[in-house]
Amino acid sequence: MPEDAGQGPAEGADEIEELRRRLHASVSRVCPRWLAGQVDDIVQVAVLRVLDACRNRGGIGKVASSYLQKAAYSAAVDEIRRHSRRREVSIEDEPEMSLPPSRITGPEQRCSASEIARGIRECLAGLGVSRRHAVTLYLQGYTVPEIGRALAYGLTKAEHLVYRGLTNLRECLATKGLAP
Amino acid sequence: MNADDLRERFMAAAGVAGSGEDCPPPDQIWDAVSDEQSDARFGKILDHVVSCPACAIAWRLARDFGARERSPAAAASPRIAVWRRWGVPAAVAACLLVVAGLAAQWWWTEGEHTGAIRMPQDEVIRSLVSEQTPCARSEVWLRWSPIGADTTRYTVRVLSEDLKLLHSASLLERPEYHVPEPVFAGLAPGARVLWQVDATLVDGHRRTSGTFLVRIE
Repeated sequence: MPEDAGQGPAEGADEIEELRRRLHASVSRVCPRWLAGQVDDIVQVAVLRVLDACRNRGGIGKVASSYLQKAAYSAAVDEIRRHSRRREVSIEDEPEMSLPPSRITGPEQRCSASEIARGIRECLAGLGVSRRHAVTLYLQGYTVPEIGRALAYGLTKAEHLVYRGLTNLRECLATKGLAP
Repeated sequence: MNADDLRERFMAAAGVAGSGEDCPPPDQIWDAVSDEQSDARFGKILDHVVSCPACAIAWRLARDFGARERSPAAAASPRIAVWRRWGVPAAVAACLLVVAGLAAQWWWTEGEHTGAIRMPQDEVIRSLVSEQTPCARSEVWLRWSPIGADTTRYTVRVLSEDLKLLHSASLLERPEYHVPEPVFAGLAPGARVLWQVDATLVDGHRRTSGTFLVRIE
């Protein structure tokens, strides 16, 4: 038989408010602009998760700040996925999110950008494992030394993988007739 | 197309809608970015990022949130330590062991990938309740995707929007629960209620769902 309970969390209102403030600052700082309208929801879910963890760790003060970051991050990713599933992130939003508005202006350019983006993903998938991983990290904003550390390669090898991988990627895009 | 162009276009790709049902949990992406995943898992997640725009955003977000790779000191990184072992010709025996281990791991992960072996720890509890359609107070059924075997037991927590615990139920054998109507007595019409599920697997491991929403009429 299920057992029922009805008590609320033990933490004080001030502590929860402080927690909410910290999480809000953290989420607002890194949330993509197109998700700005959901910041409060994300924070609310993150607060809930932290309070949940507090029950096992003996209070908000005992929760490491790294845990707060991770909770806020998880809540944000859940919201991003929910967004994606609802297909609310349209191609219309792309430039605002990640590209300078001046680079992609009209519908035709947006369509072309979307095609190139898809082509990059397809071409990446066709690279060998080492090059694919190195180039993916590079495109995600890693520097070559960071890629070397992440993949446990020396600097020279990481550099070679990124260089050769980018060359392959360009060749692949060219065979698809994709170039800006 | 120079490298900066490619980088920008790839980032733009992350704006396109669509995330698969097989996305890794956010924790796993965070751990991969923080260098706290095994080689096999790291590679698997990175490959997923190539094909999944939503997870590409999640990866970047993890870095922005502060998940950083650990110190480059080789000794501190299990990933580097493992690879260095491969490069030492004298350690033939060790290499054989590693090869055997990798083969076993390949077999294991390959099985997971094809669905032949599906480990409960990789499963995610998903809500099967619409977050948009309001429920009559007397008909609030919370349903979620089951994980593990039939022996899994579930705990459900129901909370108000201001995070007050309204109700909980434990030792549920089925992935559904009917919330008694009196639980919602103090809530205004149209209120949103949060709910969460804990699954206890037969081996004692626990999995916690994301936080879901349900609207009350």
